[in-house]
Order: sequence, then C-alpha cells, then structure tokens
Amino acid sequence: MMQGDLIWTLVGFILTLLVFSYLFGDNVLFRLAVYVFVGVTSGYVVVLLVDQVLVPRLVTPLMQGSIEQRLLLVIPLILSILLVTKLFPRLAAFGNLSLGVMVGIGAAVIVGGALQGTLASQITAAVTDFNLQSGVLKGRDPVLKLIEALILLVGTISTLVYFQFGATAKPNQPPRRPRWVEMLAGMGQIFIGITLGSLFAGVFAAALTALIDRLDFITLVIYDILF
Amino acid sequence: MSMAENRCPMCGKSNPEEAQRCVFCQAQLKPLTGGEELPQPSFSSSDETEWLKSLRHTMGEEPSSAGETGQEEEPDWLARIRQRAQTERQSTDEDKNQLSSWLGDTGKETSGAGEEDWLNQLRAVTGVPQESPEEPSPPSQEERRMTTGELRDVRDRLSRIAGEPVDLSAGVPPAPQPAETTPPSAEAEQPPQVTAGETSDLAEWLRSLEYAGMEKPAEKTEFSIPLEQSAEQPYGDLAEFTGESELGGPPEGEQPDWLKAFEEVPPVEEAPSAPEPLAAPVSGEETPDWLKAFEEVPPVEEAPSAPEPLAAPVSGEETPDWLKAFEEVPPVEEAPAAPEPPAAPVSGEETPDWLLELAQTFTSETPGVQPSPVEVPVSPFVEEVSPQAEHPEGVTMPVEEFLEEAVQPEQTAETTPVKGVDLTDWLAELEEEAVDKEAISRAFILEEEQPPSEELPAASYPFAGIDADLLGAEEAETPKETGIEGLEGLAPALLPDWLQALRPVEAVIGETPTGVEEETQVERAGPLAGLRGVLPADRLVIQYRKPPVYSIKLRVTEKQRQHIEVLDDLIKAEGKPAAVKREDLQVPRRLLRLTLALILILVVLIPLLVSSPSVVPTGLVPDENVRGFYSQMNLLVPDRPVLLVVDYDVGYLGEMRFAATGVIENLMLKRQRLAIVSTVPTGPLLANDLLERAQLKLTQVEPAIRQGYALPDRTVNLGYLPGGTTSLQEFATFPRQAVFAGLGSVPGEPQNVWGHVVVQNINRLSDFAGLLLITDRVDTARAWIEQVEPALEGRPLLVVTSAQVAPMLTPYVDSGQIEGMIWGITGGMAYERLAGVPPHAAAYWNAYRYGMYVGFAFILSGVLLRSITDVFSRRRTKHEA
Repeated sequence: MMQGDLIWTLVGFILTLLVFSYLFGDNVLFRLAVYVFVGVTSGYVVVLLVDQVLVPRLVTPLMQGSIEQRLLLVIPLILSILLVTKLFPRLAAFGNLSLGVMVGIGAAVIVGGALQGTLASQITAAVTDFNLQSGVLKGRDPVLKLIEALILLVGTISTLVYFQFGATAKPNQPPRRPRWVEMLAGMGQIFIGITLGSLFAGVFAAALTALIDRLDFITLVIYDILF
Repeated sequence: MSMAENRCPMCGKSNPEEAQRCVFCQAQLKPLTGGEELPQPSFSSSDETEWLKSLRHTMGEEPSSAGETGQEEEPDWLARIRQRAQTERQSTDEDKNQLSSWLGDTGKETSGAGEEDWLNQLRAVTGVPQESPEEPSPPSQEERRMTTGELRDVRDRLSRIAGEPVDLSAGVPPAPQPAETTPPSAEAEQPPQVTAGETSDLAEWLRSLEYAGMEKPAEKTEFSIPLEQSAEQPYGDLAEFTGESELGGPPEGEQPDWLKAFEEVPPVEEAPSAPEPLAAPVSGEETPDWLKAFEEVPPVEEAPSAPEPLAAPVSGEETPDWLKAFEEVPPVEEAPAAPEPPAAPVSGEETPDWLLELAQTFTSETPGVQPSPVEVPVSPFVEEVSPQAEHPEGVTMPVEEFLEEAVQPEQTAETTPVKGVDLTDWLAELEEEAVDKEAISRAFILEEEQPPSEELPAASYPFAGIDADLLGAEEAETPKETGIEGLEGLAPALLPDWLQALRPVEAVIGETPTGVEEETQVERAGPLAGLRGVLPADRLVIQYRKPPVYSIKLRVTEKQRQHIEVLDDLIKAEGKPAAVKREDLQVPRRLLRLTLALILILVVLIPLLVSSPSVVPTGLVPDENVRGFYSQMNLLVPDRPVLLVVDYDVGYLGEMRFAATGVIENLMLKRQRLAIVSTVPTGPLLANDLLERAQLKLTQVEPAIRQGYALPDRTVNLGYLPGGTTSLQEFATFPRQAVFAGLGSVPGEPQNVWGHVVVQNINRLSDFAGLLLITDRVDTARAWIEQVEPALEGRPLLVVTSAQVAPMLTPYVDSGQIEGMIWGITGGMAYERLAGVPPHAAAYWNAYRYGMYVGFAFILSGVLLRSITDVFSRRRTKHEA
C-alpha cells in the first residue's frame, strides 16, 4: 500500500468508525463525520461545477468564442446573474425568472417523458401480458403467463380500488364503501403489503451489503495494519 | 340737452314739450316726469331732516325761518331720538375720523355758496334737473296729495308692518296709529343685525364724499355703493328707516333716509315677504287710494321676486335728485335690459369736470343706463317703477300692477355693486366682506332652491322607500322657518293668483317637493343647530320597522358536526408536535439497539473473518433476469464503445461495487471500450474507482489484462452532465453539445474529450453499442429510460441497480424498455458465476446470507414479541375490567 493510499485509507477507517458510533446514539463523533462528509462533498461539487460547467461553458466562450457564441451566451448569463440574486432577500424576486425557466423546462421534460416512456409503455405491456402467443415465443408456459397476467391485473385493479375513498352515507350509520369495493380494497391492501415488504427487503439487503462492505474494509485495514 | 326736450323714457326719442304720451311708443310721459311740478323742498321745518340741518350748519348756512319754527315745535320724542343718535354718533367717532382723514377734512371749509355749487354739479352729473329752493315749482294736483304729512303717515304704517307681525293675508292692514301713542318696537329701535355704528359709518363716508366732491372737484373720487351690506338686515334697516320717518327725519348726525337707501338693499335670494317700505307722501288723515291698495297687498310668502326694498326717501324733497340717480342704477350685469329711470339733464354750466367724468364713467359702464330727459321722479316709489309702465294715473296706479312691474326687475336683478368703478382698499375690503357674507348665506339658500331632481335614479335617494305622504304631512305640520326672526310670528300668507303666477319655480313645478321642505328646515338643537337641510332623523326613525334579526347560529346537521370535529382534530393535530409514545419494554431501548447491532455485526463479520477468499460461493443459481442480462451483454457490438452511466451515490458504493464489478470485468475481458458519463457530481470519480477496482481484481486472476486493457486508452470519462435529468433530453439528441469538458481533460482544450479514440466516431447515442446504467435511485433510472432509451434506436439498455430499486424497475424489464437488469450482491455474484469472471469471495456471500437470516429473525421475533405483548395486555385489561 502506498503512503498516500495508507493515509486516505486511515482517514476512511476513522470516518467509518465515527459513523458506527451512532450505535450509541447521536454524538459528536457521528456529527463530525457527517459534517466532514457534507463539507467535502460540497467543496468537490463546487470545484466540479466551476471546472466542468462554468469555465468551459461560459467563461471560455465569452473570452475566446466568436461573436455568435457570445451573443448566444447573453441569455444564460443574464439568467445566471438573476439566479444569484436569490441569495439576497431584497433582490430575491429578480431570480424568479430564472427559477421559472428552470422549473418550467424541467416540468415539461419530465411530463413529456413520463407520458411516453412510462404511462403508454406500461399500459401496452399490461395488455401484452394477456397475449399468450408472445409468452410462447419467449419460451414461457402460456398458462403460467396467463396466471401471471391475471395476478398483475387483479393486483393493479385492487390497488387502485384501495385508494378509492368514496362512500355513501346511510341514516344512523357511518359512511361505508360498497361491499364489492371493500373486497377489492382488501385485496389491494394485500398487494400493497407485499410490495412494501419487498421494498423493505431490498432496503435491508442494500444496507446489509453496505455493512458487509464496510466491515470488510475495516477488517482489511486492521489486517493490513497488523500484518 | 335742454329743458325743452321731453324725451320718452321708453324709446328715448324727443317729444313735444306739451305731449302727455310719447308720439312714437305711446309711453306715458307726464306721470313720470313733471319735475317742475314736484313739490320742492318747501316743506316745513318739522319735516326738515336733521341731516339737512347739520349740513347747512356745516356749510355755514343759516336755517330758514321755517326751520326755526320747526325747531320750536320739536316734540319730546324727537329730542330723545336726537339724544340717542348723538350717543351713537359719539360711539363711532373713531371710524368717522378715519374716514374723514381719508376723504379729507373738506367739509369744514365749505361755504354756503359752495353748497349750491356742489349740489348743482352733482345733480348735473347724475342727470337730475337742477332744483332751486328759491324757485320752487308748483306741484301738480296729484302730487300735492302726497304732502309731507301723508308721507309721514305712510312711514308710520310701514314701520309697524316691518316691526310687528301682521296678518297680511287677511288683507287687513294694521290701523295707522300716531307715533306718539305707538312707540317703535324694540326691533325697530335696535335692528338685530346692524348696529348704529355701522349705519353711522355709511352716513359719514357718504357725507364725506359729498364734501370731497365740493372741495376737490378735480379729484376723482372712486367708490362703490356697498349694497350687499344691507342684505343681512332687510327688516332691521326697514324698521330703522321707518322709525326715523316717524320722527320726521333722522336725528342730527345720523344718515338721512335717502342715503340709507344705498345700503338698505334687501337680500335677493331670500326675499322677505314683508311689505316694501314704499314710502309715499300721504297725509296723516287721509290715505290715498293707491296707498291703501298697497297696504292691502298681501305679503309675498317666500317671494323670490319681491321688489327691492330700496328704502327710498320719503319723497323727492328729502332725497336729492342727484343721489337718486345713484339709487336708480339698476343691477347692471344681471338685468341689462332693465329700464332705467329717467335721468335729469344737467345744465352744463355749473358742472365740474370731475363730476362729468364720473357721470360718463358711471353711465358708460352701466349699459342699461341711458341719459334721460329732464324728468324728476315724483317719489322714490315712482322711481322703482319701470319706466315701461303705462299708467296714465301716474303715482296712483294700482298696487297690483305696480308690484308686477316692480317685481319684474327684481327677478332678474341682483344686488351687485356697481362694477367698473375702482375701489379704494377699504371699500374693496368692505365689499369683499359683504360678498363673503352673501356667499355664505347663499350657500344655504342655493340648497334650498335646488330641490332634488326627479330625474335622478332612485338609488341616489337614501330614503327612497319612505312614505312620501307621511313625510309630507309631517313637513306640513312643521312650521316653516325662513331663518328671519322678524317673520317668525307671521301667519302663513295666501298669495293671490297673479302673484303666484310670478313665481317661476312654483309655476313650473306646481308643487313643492318634499325635499325642499326638508331643506328649508333649520335644525334647532344639537351640534347641527342653525343648519338647513338637516334630515329629520327623529321623525325618520319612527318610519322604519325594526330590521329582521337574523340568527348567526349556523344550522349544522349531526353528520356535518362530526365532519367538523374530525377536520378540527386534524388541523389541531398538525400544529401539535407528535408525542412519542413510550414503549413499554422490559429492557432499555439503547441496550436493545446495541444488542441487535452487535448480533448483526457479528453475524456478518464472522463469515468475513472465517471464510477463505478463495472459496467460491455455492448455491447461487442465476435467475431469468441475470441470464437475460448476460445474453444482452454478449450481443453488444465489440467495435463500438459502450456508454457506461454511473449514477449512484457514495453511500451505495459497496452494493454497486458488488453488483457491477462482474459486469465491468466482463466488458474488460471483451475489450469493450467504455465512455463514462454521470448526472451525479460524484459519478465520474466513482466510475474511475469502479474501473480501477475491476481492473485490479481482474489483474489478480489474469495479470495480462492490465496490459491488454489500458484504462486511458479504452475508457473515456465524459464527466458530469449538468442539469440532472433535464439535460438528458439534450444528451440524447446532441451528445457532443451536452458534455464536452470531460473529467481530467486538458485545461483549455475541453473539446478534446470527443476527440478521444473511444468516442471520436460517436455523434449520437445510437452510435454506442449499448448503454449500461448503474444507479441506486428509481428516478434516475426512470429518467434514463424515458428520455434516452428512445434515442438508442434498438441498442440495449442494461441496468445494474440496488436491491431496493429493483422492484420498482421490474415493470420496465417486463415491458422490454430495459433489456436486462441485475441488482444487488446476489445479482452481481450470479452474473460473475454465469459470465466466468473471477468471483468475489464466498465470504461475502455467506456474510450476506447469514445477515439476511438474522435480519429475518429480528423481524420475525419483533412481530412475535409484539403479538405476545398485545395478547398479554388484552388479558390484563380484561382482568382488570
């Protein structure tokens, strides 16, 4: 292990131990590790943005670019300056224009992509699951494919019904949903529970993997130090 | 103009001297003329006014013998009046001195001969024929009837009319009583609004004006008659005037009656209904018919067209004709067509130049004034009459007709001062004050004269819904207040038809609106006392019904009430901090947490320490997803670079490393070129770390791989893609414009990143062999799928992700948008085993597996413990119950 790597390995080892100190509750050591992480990350991001965004995209074209490039950069320059005014409460209103441009463009991009890339494609996929021939082509058992499609359909419908809270009121009785709605909602509740369980299992698995990685790092560092 | 001319007052044309009517317009000439027949100042000394005496005395002229005779016959009451006048004159000595200083003390130097001069000059200027006491012209037969005694009698009656409430509507005039038995009323003696000092001031300045005209004929005296002054005191002046008339003349030092006429201009806007002090020379025993008719004239109630109470002197004898000309000046601006009284011609031999200029100025600036022939009005009453009148009987014309003619100019004329004459400062101030007072009074009067228009919308009346009849009845019950104290005791008068026809407002409207009635009322009490037009709230209040009382209590059903309570609880709960429920555990919370953590750490750590790194994990069976992923990896075109997207955070470095290391090793073994890009700032650095670790791991198994796959030659780090997911659209369309700086590129040459051998032939995303996305977030994976995947144009999109994200991305795998996906340590190790790359040590798999077991055990034990606790708590509750 090289000298520089050793130093950074020791730094990583110490920071890892500081984070593990959270097992004893919130303490100064844990906070120190968090602050160091936040500070280093922020510094790194600033350097990265200046080096890879501002200088090559704004400063260099303004200094060395053609007239057309400079004229094209006037608009982003103005928007950037207006965005800086958000740092000052009295002038913060001037930054609304830049924020509006950003939010508007972002919303348009996300909505457009979601409609085409998620909504339409997922609806098509849900319908295609009932195409037994496609399952055969993929080498899957058509019966199992059909059962899977039915489970998917029931799970989708029942989950949607579960989030339907409309109910009719009867005299001297609390408002309740119709009986068939209650049944579907119950089934949807089961599907939701399974989904959340699987997500929790994935979160636990990811955390466990991170734990394994950190413990492996610690043992390796200790092993390298000791041996 | 000679005396032989007999000029018509109507058409102004000359007529023969003996003509009684105008040969051109048939206007009456004689009744209005006959100055030669007027009774000259030959009245006895008893009728001689004190002011004339004082004037003579000042001029050094000895009173006539007749005057002395009159002095001997002076009654006691006249002495008292003179004494009173002397007292008042002393009280205003200061003002008189000021006036005298201004006008010059010229009167003292006036001689008796001078009197003749200045009177003649002044007469000549005003067009009044020269009158000579030495040559009295015999009065005509009709004029003789108006002797001095008759005039006095008329004055007495008029004074009683002004000072006492008389029911004129009944048409019965008060019986004339001698002045000795009927002392003047208090109001008559002391005018309510005008003090004696003020009247004395006017007399003094006018007298001084005379003196100034005599002594300084070359000096042009400019003045204006303050007619407005008397607008506030119509009745007071009248009473005073008549009171003096009873005494046969004003006391010494007081102004004469003819001078008072200049100030006693009645108000125009609010004309009093009292009879006018139309003095006429009647004897005390007999009242001529025309005067009787005049006395019987009913008072004009609210008569806006009442004739001007130009309190004329009793007769022509008392008022010099030259001053009558000033009286007879009609309102110039308001009544340009008003007929002018005949002006006497002036004998030019004795008239000074300054008076001539004054006369010219006066006549030229009054368009209605025309030089009149030599005509001396019979009396001031006659002067009031329009010269257009055609009454052969002259003075004895019917009173109705006289009022018609007298009212006519009154309707259009206003008591405006003579314009065009320069005023001195003090006169200007005096006039301004008078105008201000008149304006103030007009402010109320105008409101009175402006009834609410019927054309206004109903919304503009705040009390439009009030019963008008009821209001009208109440208004009728309320005595009308005219604001004049002297008329409070007068009974409502009935106007004759002919007089009502003269009232233009009532003739048109027909009926006085209720609003006018209200506005004429004067508030008697309270802070608004004295104001007109105050709404009678005390009467209006009873007109209204009590407004309906609406309950503010909201009718809420039981169901709505429950909803309100639920909503209220929700809102209140939002503001309250969530109380942490203390768990009823047998062991301390921190100890439990440490215990579970230690168990998990030990379970994970022990396999890492015990297991050998060279042991290959067993029991890993690649599932369908791993196989699909592997097949897609094999379909990648080797001569094209693969776009490697590293979009995960540092916290997931361990999991991503376990999952992606085998894939990267597989690409290295295939000599696949890699172009790295990231939407996360730390992505480029983590990508470099991932590549270095993979190469290091691969080198441990196959050392030649380091030389065969050099990272600088086979990989290029395009760097950070700014803008997050928003920039993916641009990157999918114009990749060279989206990223060009590159991580670790040469400073100053950022464009060289696309000149790298790996990506030098890449112009669009479909030029890549495929896209390998390594991410730990659902949003990032979805953004790449939605924005970039269509731009790949059939190139495979492979995803290596975290175990926690895999369930959310599985639908995209099923839909075919993701060609292959592996996740977590299990997916990575399964891929390593399937791809034949050097696997991770079995220790990690074992640690992972045991850790999962322990975790499941913890969850299961927690559920069981909670269930058991609940069961026991229920039993305990039932037991206690």
